Amino acid sequence: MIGSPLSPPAGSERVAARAHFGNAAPSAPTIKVDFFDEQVRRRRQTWRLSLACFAIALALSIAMSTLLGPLLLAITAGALKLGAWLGCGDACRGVARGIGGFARQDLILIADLFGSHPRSHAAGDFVTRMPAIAIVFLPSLLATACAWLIIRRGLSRAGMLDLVVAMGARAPRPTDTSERQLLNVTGEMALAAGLPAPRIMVVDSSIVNAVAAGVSHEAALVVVTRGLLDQLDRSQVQAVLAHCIGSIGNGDLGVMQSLLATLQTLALFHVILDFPFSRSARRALVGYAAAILAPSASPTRVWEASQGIEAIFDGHVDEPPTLVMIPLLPLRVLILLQRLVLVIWSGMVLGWPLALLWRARRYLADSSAVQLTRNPDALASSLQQFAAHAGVPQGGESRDYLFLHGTQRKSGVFERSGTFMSMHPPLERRLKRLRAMGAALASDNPGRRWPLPAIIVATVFGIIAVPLLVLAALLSLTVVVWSMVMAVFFSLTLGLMFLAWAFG
Amino acid sequence: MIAIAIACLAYVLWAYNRLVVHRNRIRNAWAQIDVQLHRRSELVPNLVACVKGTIAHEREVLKSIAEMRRQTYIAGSDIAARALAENYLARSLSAVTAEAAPQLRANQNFLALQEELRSSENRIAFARQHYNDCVMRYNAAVSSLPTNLVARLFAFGPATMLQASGSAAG
Repeated sequence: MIGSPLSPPAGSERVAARAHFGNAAPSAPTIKVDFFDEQVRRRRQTWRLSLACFAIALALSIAMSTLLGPLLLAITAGALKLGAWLGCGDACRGVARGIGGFARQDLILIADLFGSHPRSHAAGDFVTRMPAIAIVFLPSLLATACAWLIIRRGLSRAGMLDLVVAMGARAPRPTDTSERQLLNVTGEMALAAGLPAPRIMVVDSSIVNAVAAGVSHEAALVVVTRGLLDQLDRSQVQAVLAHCIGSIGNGDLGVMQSLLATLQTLALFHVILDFPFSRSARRALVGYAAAILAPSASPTRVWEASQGIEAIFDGHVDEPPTLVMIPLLPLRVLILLQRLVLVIWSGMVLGWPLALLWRARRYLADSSAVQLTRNPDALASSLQQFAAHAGVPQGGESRDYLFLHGTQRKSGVFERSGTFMSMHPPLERRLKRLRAMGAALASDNPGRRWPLPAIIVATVFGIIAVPLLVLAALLSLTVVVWSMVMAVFFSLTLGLMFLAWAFG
Repeated sequence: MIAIAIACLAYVLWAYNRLVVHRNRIRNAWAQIDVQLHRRSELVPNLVACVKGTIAHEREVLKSIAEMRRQTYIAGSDIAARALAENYLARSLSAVTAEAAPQLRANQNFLALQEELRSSENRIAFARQHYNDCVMRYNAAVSSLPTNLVARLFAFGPATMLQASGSAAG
């Protein structure tokens, strides 16, 4: 064991940290952005976008609580009725009265606020009553949070490892030179990152692409195509591995599990609501519960189960109502309306922050690759090779978002849920960031210049249109909040009526 | 008042743990450099066996390589001597490989060995790079304002980086 380190050299520590080991570049290209600063920027962006996603998901679950609230109340009433029939009548009656009192109080509060003289109540009054009103949403929010946690844990156990089976990946052969180099390069990058080396597998395909999957940074997997090994030289393969390992080390596996869990929780609640009406929903729900709750379900089984749940985003309205369902028709209409709201919201509102979040993680992984290799040129030139031989290996199409470079074909869950924005950052932007970090690439666009008349028109339009847009947004927000509260009021009344029937 | 005291105590604990984690990472990175240097030494007998009969003054060259390898083991924890010995070993290995390469171009064993040597040199370089990155993060934590009070309290001094020229170990 060698002893402690020597005394420090003179000069800035960052320069020493950035020094190239080996040949020095004859004329270093200008570095406008240090990769550490780029990383800080992307991490902050991730935090902001995560907050946005969280706020939108919260609003969505509040909106869904309109139907979930009375459902929970009905289930509780049924359970209490059963308990009373089994023998502990007094206790159940007491609990029912407690729940009834709680719900009635909130109803009185809401009725008071929006009651006889709506205009005479000041805005401050509304704000002070807000915490009490918020408690109304609490049961369904708790239910949503529990579901999200369970789903995420199921996803993290499965670790997207079904990809390996679907793509037919194999272990690399040590006898082959480029695969031997691949193993060495992985070890080098794992050393540079201070992480355990991920498992490497190879897919025999001429497409150039790579993907990082796995459970966590301690049990990760990187799959690389044979085409990548053929087209890229050693330093470029090194840059690609640095991107994958950097992405794993930054926790992108967990980020993707959280994103998928969010979408799947939304889909799950709608499958639950569809439960009484559609046979495929029943099948999907039972399969999903079995896969998520089973301690040793295989990743393929979890994946197929979640595909069944995500089918709700496709928006099929199947199975015409039978005679038994006719009395429940109004409820079905309500549920269909709510599904429409879900699809619109998750596509148009939730989709954008999710896509931007994943793009920010991609940029972060790019800058981590530059940090690990200290060689932005390698990553930039390998990205260009990715674009030249673009594609996704067979079996991986539905996980398009995980791969290093995306294709035009969109079939993953994010696209099916309606996101118009691509999960992958555009290639030119990635190259531009790499150029700022010091890659010596020829610049294709020296910067577009807008003609002067276009600038004037755009400014005038902006001055007129922006206040109008802000007004429209505020108005629609008020309408949405009002209708949400009205819907909660309506559904709580329904629930209380059911409770009253259950206990006389 | 008590709440503020508890908050301060919690912060001191959190900062101390963070500094300990950083310091352990540095020690781990330093040990990793040692492991990679050792890995390179292990390749030397293979190289010697492979290049027999292809380089000039074979006996003297191979003898000096063996001697330099012995020196790295002898140097042990003396950093300056170890650094010197590892440097000499690295240079002679690359010289021997370069000299033997034209003749052993088609020899699969030699090509594989060349790749392994290249990978070892890279691993040593990346291990040192990782060590420098860890030191940088540790120094940033030790010198940034709220944490440096805790650092001074518990005697966490700034760590030193490795120079790129290779004057430190490896």
